Amino acid sequence: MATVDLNKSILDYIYECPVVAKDPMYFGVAEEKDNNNQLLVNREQPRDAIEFIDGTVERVYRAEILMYKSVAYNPIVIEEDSAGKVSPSPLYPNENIEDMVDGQTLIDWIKEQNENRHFPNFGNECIIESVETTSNRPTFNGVNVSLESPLAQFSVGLVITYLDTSKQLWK
Amino acid sequence: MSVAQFNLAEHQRAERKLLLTVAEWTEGTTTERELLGRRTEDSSVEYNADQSTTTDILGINYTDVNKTQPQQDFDPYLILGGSKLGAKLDDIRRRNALSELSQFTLYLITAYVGDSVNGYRAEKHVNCTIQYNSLGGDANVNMPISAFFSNDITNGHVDKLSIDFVFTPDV
Repeated sequence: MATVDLNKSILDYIYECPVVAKDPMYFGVAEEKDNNNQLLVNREQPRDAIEFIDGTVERVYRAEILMYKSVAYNPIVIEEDSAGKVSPSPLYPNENIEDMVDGQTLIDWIKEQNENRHFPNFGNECIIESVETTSNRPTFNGVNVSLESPLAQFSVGLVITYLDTSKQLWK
Repeated sequence: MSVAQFNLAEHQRAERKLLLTVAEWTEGTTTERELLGRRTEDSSVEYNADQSTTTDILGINYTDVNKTQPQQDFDPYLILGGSKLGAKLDDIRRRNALSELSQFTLYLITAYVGDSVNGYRAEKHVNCTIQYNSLGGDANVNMPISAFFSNDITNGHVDKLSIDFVFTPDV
C-alpha cells in the first residue's frame, strides 16, 4: 500500500481554508515577508503514541502555522485634546488588530471542519479522530525589528489525533 | 500430544496484539462477532483461581487449585460508531434484560502459536457472560465491560485473524 505523505495531506487540507490559500505558504523554512505563511512540523511528545491491545496506535501530529504580518506603530486612540476629549485614531481600524484576523479565521475554519468531521486524507490505514487548534486565539510571538519593515509573527498550533491501524493483525 | 511451540524467534517477546479475545453472539439468524479491546491499553485474562493449601507436620505446603473463574476487563470500552457489540450491550442495558448478557461465545486466540498457513491456536468458550460495569466518562462515553469465560472449552484453531474466521476443533 502506498505510504501517504502526511505533511502534504496537511498542506492540501489547510489550503482549503480561503485565508491560507490567498497567501504564499512555505513548508519548514520561509522567507519572512508580509503575508507569508509557514507550516512547521513539531516533534512528538511522550504520550503522542498510545498503543492499544488490538495493535492499533493512537498518534498525534503536531504542527504550527506561522503567519507573518507587517506592523504599524499607530495608536488605537489619540491623546486627549485640550478639552480632555479622547478620540479614535483616524487610522482606526488599526492594522495590528487586522493582522490577527487571518489567524482567527483559520482557527474558526478548523473548528468548523472538525465539527463537520471534514479531515485531511491520511490514507486507508489511518482514522482521523480530531483536528484541533491548541488555542482559541492566534498567538502573537513578537516582532522582528531587524528587518527593513518590521514583521509580526502569529502562530496557530495544530493538533491532529488519528488512529494508525497499519500494524493491526485483525482485519 | 506434543505441546505446540510459540511461533517466535528465540527471546522474541510476543506482542500484545497476538492475544485476541473475540465475542460472538446471534442476532436473529445472523452470527455477529467483534474483537474486544479497541482503544484499550491494557487488559488481561484474570484466572481468579480458588486455591486451598494444607501444611503437613513437617511444614511442607500442598496447594490445590480447585477451580478457575477466568475474567477479562476492558476499560475503557468506548461507545464507538460501528460497534455492534456496544450497541447490543447498550440495548440490553436500557431494557435491563440481564439474562441476555449470558448468551455469548468467547474465543481466546493465541496468535503466537500457529501461522497464517496452518491457522492460529484458539479456545472457544460457550455460554459466557459479558457485563457492563458503568456508563459515562469524561470526554467520551465509556461503558467498561467485563467478560466472564465459562470454562466450557473447546480447543482448536482459527484459520485467519479476521471477523469471518472458521474455528476448527482439535481432533
